[in-house]
Amino acid sequence: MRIPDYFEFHNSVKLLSGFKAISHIPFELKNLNSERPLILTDQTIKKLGLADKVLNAFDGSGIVPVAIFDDIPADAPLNKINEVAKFYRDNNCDSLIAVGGGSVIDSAKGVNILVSSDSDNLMDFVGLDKVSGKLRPFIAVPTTSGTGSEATLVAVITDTERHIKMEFISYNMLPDVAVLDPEMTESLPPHITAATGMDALVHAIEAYSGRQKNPISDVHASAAIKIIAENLIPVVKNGRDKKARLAMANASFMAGAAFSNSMVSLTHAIGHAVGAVSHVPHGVAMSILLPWCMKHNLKMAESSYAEVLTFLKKIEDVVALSEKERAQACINYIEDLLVELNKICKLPVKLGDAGVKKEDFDEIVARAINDGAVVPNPEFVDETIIKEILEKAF
Amino acid sequence: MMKIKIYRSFGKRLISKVVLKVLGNAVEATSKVDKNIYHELEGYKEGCVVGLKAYPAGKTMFLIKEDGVFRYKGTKGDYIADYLIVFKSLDDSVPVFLGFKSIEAAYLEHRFVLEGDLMTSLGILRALGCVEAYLFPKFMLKKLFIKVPKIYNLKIVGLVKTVNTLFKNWRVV
Repeated sequence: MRIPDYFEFHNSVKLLSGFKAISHIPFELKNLNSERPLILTDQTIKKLGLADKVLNAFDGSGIVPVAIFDDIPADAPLNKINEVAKFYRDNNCDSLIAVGGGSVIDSAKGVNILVSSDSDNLMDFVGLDKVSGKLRPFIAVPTTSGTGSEATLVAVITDTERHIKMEFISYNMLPDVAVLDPEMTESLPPHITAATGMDALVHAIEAYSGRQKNPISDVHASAAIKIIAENLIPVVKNGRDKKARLAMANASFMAGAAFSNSMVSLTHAIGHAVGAVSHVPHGVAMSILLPWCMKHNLKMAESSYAEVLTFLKKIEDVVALSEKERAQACINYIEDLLVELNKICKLPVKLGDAGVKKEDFDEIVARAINDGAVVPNPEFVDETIIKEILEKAF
Repeated sequence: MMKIKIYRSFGKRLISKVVLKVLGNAVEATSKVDKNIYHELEGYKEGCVVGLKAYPAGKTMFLIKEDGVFRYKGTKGDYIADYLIVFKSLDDSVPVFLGFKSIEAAYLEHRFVLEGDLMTSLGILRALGCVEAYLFPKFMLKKLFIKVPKIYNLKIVGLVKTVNTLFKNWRVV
């Protein structure tokens, strides 16, 4: 195993994983010396009754959440974050609970930066490691198993007036507690379960094969890949399988911890651009692009992909293969997995089927080449290569 | 009680100071002769300020975009950087400044923090990579990059222009 000349790894999130894990939220708040939490969620989560489940957990605890902000929109817009931060201050709240997917958790991270720094201007914190000091107590309750936002140091927030997405990266933004309860994800429909599960798989594979990989991120990534290989198809077929739901939530968390410390690469660079330009859901873009990006990286990431195959399949199925054959078989496995998911829940396997138009390519290329995720990619990338990958995935 | 004495590394400070000056002038010089570097930097607005410093002792070197080119402004100015690259220590910055580590590798190893809009900062990192391609010999570059950045002029032209710019800016410290 290659040990980098220097690396950093940080994950300070306390993990609560299991059935009825949400019932421990009041106890954890007391541990964090908090009594006046503000809950952030979105309309879908509210309609599904998931926010009520979290609220009911406070029964008899002596803690009453100050309010629920239940209209957090997708893409974590800046104006909403300013509004929530003002409410937090005006009502003397002392902690945050985010119940939702990546957008809700990222919004809570943005609010936490503002309320902890007594600032009104989130722009002061854009960039790498600009958030300093301990932030307010923050509990994340993910309702999808994919983004891993509950374990990541990143928040992507949208400035809707200037039409730009801003990236905030700091270890200080990590939640204090992440709550993985299978009840919170069991109502996800099959195609979203598949897309978010593939997102988690891409996080893990890219963290394992990228240029920032390190022994600790590898442990998280490899465990995530194993769990996803065992549970993704069963949970897409049967969303009520609580054990598989819990396993996928754990995989998503571990993949998040892995890529927080060994950044994702080309699939994400292109996928972010495809999402921004052609409005393809992130998980869908990830699953379509993954095999093509792996093919591009095959030469430089051969040993990593060969190892990934040993996490995806039983050892007796791979032991006779050479490293080169294993790496190729790894890509074949991913392609077969996508075909199977397409059969089960119609997860698109081509960009054209996901709504991307060929005339979008130039803008996608221009955005992707400037995405920070191209830097850790194991193989060289330029505009021509990105366009070739788009053509092949179309 | 034991007296605490911290030795100052004058050598590293000196290297950092000299190389920052060379690098800053090289950016100004090569962006005039290399279309790739020019292209990477042309998207940044006029007046855009880029700073480079080594924490805690190093001074900040500033580059400001004027008339389409990033110009070396030395370390004395009181500018607010749009993009500020802060190496976490002199030990992190010296190998990069001497060509033993690429700016990209330093980024991946968390050797520096980057303040400013991350979404638009990669052009600066790529341009610095191209400038390194002018400054360092091929055998060093092969160790630094997966693929050595293409340069669009003779290496000697870039070096002569850099020396020329250094003389022109010799008063700028």
